[in-house]
Amino acid sequence: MLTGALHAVRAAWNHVAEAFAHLPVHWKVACYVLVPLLIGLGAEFVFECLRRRRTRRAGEREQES
Amino acid sequence: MTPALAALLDLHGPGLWGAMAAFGLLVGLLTGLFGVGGGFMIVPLLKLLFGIPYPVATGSSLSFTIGSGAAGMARHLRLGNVEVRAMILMGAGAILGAWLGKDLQGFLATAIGSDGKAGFNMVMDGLFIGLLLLTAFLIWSRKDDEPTGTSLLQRLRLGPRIDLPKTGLVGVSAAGLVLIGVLVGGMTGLLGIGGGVLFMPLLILVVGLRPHQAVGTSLGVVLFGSISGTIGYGLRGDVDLPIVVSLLIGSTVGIQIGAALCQRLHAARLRRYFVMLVLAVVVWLAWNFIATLAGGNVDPSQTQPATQSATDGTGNLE
Repeated sequence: MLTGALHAVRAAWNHVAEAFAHLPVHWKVACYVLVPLLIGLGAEFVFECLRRRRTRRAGEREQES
Repeated sequence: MTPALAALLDLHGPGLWGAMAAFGLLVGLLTGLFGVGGGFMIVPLLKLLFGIPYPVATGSSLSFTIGSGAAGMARHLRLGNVEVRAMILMGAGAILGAWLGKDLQGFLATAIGSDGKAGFNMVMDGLFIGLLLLTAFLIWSRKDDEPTGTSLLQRLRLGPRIDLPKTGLVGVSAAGLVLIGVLVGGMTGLLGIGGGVLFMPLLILVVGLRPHQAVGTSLGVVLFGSISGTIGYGLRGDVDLPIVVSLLIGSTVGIQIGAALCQRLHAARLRRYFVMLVLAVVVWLAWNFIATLAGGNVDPSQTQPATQSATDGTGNLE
């Protein structure tokens, strides 16, 4: 099952890479800028949400005690 | 020239991207532990560990810096640590500087890279050795002093002048800010580094920003420069998106681990570890430099980078 999943991931990756290779150069450049921007901001958003949740829970625990 | 570690370990396909993500984790740990971007380590280590040619390593590092810089700037914007006027002026300079830096690297590659690019690699190795030694020195003697008196840019007789309300600075030379931006951007475009460690003292001592504002503002300037540089390198085909994504995924996790570890370790001990790590990379680069010099000036990593063995030219996994 794991091997099957790996094959599926590899096939999907190859499909994406094939499509990317045929993109016009300006679209590729847009990807070079936008993909890391979205990953960076997305990760920051997720970790900020986790930080806020941790702070809120700590506050709730303090109130309970 | 010594072969890259990835070639020695015969890493390719998913194994190579996994190793890249692990390398990203290490870079993220550095960011979390020491508050440095890690760009100064990414480019030489992509070359030494994975055999990625300098132009692709530089372009990919700049694209990576967009992600890490945007995340850092978003945090500092929320905390009110960004001096927006200074950031826009220096950012405009950084856009121009990064483009010029990219062109300078292209010029160096054509002018001294005709002999299998070994000459170009040696110049880049030399530049990184100097940069890393300077970084180690600045981190070792780090003092986040508050600026005192009027700054150099307030005294500079080069108009027009602007006020920076967040820092309380009046009559700062706008042309001077743009020139600093060109300098920061030039280093970003030439070497693919964020330059936080080098430009923090510049922003504090020359512009007169407070340490926290210098961190937030420099992240913004570097973001402008790295976007401009990524576009330039991308148009030349010198950015590898799988490398960027692997590094970013690893580093986002590494930053969180590093930040948590940072609170448990003593600052002086942290600095010592950091300097030791930087000096180890310097020794490795110097060894590489001497080996290239002694080995007939032919650089095998230029003829078969690790990414070529991992993909079939279109990015497909073998």
